[in-house]
Amino acid sequence: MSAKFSLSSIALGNIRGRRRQYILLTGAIVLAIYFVATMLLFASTMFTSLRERHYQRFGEQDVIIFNAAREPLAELMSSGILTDDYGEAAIYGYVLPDGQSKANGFSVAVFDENALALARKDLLAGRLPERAGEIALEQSMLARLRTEAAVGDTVTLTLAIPDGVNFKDSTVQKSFKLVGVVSDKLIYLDEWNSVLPVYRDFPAGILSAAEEITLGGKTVINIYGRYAAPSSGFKQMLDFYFNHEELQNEGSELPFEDTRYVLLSDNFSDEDIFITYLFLIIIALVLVLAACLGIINAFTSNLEARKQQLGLLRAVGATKKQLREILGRETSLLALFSIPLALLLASLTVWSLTKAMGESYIFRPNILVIIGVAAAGLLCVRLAASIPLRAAAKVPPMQAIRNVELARKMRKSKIVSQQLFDVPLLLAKRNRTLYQSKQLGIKLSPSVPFWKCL
Amino acid sequence: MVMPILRCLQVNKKYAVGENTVHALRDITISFEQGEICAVRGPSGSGKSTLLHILGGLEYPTTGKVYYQDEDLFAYNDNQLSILRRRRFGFVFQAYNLVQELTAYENILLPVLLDKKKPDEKYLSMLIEILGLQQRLDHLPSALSGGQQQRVAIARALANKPSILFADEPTGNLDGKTGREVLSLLKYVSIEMGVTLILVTHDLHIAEQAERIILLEDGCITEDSGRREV
Ligand SMILES: Nc1ncnc2c1ncn2[C@@H]1O[C@H](COP(=O)(O)OP(=O)(O)OP(=O)(O)O)[C@@H](O)[C@H]1O
Ligand SMILES: [Mg+2]
Repeated sequence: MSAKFSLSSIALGNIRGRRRQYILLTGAIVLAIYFVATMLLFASTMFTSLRERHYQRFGEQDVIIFNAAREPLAELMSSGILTDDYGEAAIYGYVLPDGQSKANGFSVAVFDENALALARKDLLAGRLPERAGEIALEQSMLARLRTEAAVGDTVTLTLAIPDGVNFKDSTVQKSFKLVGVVSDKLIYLDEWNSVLPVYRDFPAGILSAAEEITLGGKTVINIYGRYAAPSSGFKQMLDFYFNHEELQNEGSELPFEDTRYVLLSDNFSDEDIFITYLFLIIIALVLVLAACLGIINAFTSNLEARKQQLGLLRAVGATKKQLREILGRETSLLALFSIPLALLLASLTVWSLTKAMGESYIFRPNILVIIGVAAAGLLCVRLAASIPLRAAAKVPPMQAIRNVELARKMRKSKIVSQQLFDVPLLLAKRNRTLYQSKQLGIKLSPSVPFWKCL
Repeated sequence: MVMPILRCLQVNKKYAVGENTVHALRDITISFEQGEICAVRGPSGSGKSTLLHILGGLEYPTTGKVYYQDEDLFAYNDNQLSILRRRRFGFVFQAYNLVQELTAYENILLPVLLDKKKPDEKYLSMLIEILGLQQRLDHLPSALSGGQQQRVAIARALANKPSILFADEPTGNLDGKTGREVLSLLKYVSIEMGVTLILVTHDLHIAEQAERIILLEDGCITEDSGRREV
């Protein structure tokens, strides 16, 4: 004897008793949500993977400003071009790999916390320098130095000293203990071959904050910054420097490098991105619509088969509201089961897809997408079900005793007896007149299968 | 004279069938007292079921009124009528009485539950015992015999301690002996609970045991024995 018997028990009992129909219904819901969730999760995985790859290669900053000590940084911030959580790298010296020429050289700098985080100097081995005399280098710098040195070894560097704009010709020799190796930044590799003024450099060596900066020269400070408005930041920066002639350098090179992440490529404008999103949203909406249609149809045919039961509940004294409540709970129970299942399947699919696409694609389930799809799914199921539920609540109590609905229909369609008839033909005709509207609903669903919308 | 618990005034019911109309009930005026046991007899198609449905608020009359304790039944809205049905009326139909997906016990509890009341365990177990259903409570209706199903239906009809029990040939699907058993149970519980029983039956023998017999012919009451001692 079930001690705790409630409206949910009725709902559960119904699901128990109509397992076949409900498996179909669950299938429809799962499939619909699965498609939408897979698409959105895949898109978000692609977006995050691409962005993460960019960050790994270039760092998270939007812009690097060279020799920023000269720049009115404050104005860039107060005019809302840059956010104020920028990072500073104070350049200590420029390493001459062969001890004589600046070719293939690179600079070493003291990074503050923000700059380290933005520049994404991810540790590959060892640790970051903590004391004076310690250094961490980007991996390929070791090759440039033609040294076999490993973490723990001492490296001796020939350094050109910054003089405020450029580096002096006189050099200093200094030994450091190599405490860490960090990942290469492509930005550096891209640039090191071209003939650029040496001050226009992305430091590839990290010194500790305890390092004494000026070895008799003038400091050069590079700024790692983020645009306040990522989409228009680059243009604002350009305008800013065009409007400040005094900030322009002798050469035609810009005193900053734009490294922000853009979806797909630089040629994609904001509108393109917007259109891409819009396109995805439209596909999702079409899928959701098809899914809702499937749910409505499945529910309608399910309810058709249980008019007698609904009538009985009404005769026993269930109000229309209670009937909707009972059926609504069935939907919720269904949704509770099918939505997590669909999300799980979608996550698995996207996970294996990203796995198959290679290492640089990482599957990170976007919690917002998952919560959004779950909530939207629940809403859709309830909304879609509310249409047949409304109809179900209208079942008269008399339906429990005889099929009054059919009788009413029969009267409306003015059916008269035929004297001579072909049995299958007449039955087919009658079925059409009597169940027309219901068949229409069922007909609609295979004509709009969601996979065709893809 | 006792105040009638249920009465109807000049009730007519017409059904449209194609071009024709069927006059199922003609100017029926009748009243029932609290605790009365009344059998409605009549040939097939005479309008017995129709009368019962209208008295029970399941179907609307074409013209005329039905009063439950001087309240016009059909002046109620759908919601109020539903609540009245589950609190004051009990129904036992000829067949398909039970929700197939719920166990016997859950079926019995259904009206109590819809009323959001705490089940009166003592009363219910007494009911279950009288109807001999103790061993069958966890069965689904499909696993019960026709007689057992009707007994579950009777228990459900009485679960909310209604004041009127409507039964439309509750034994129509049962063999003679089982039918008689079910009917005497129905009569017995009605007397025990002081419930008014309005019973449609073909069985003359059963009808004879009722306090009052009404004969319906072609939509009209042609005989009314009135309440008498049996
Ligand atoms: N929904 C309906 N539509 C049309 N006619 C109906 C409908 N319901 C009942 N009738 C007609 O009303 C008349 C009375 O029917 P009812 O079911 O009340 O008879 P009954 O006395 O219960 O018969 P039985 O003993 O066979 O059950 C019959 O002629 C029947 O055809
Ligand atoms: Mg009948």
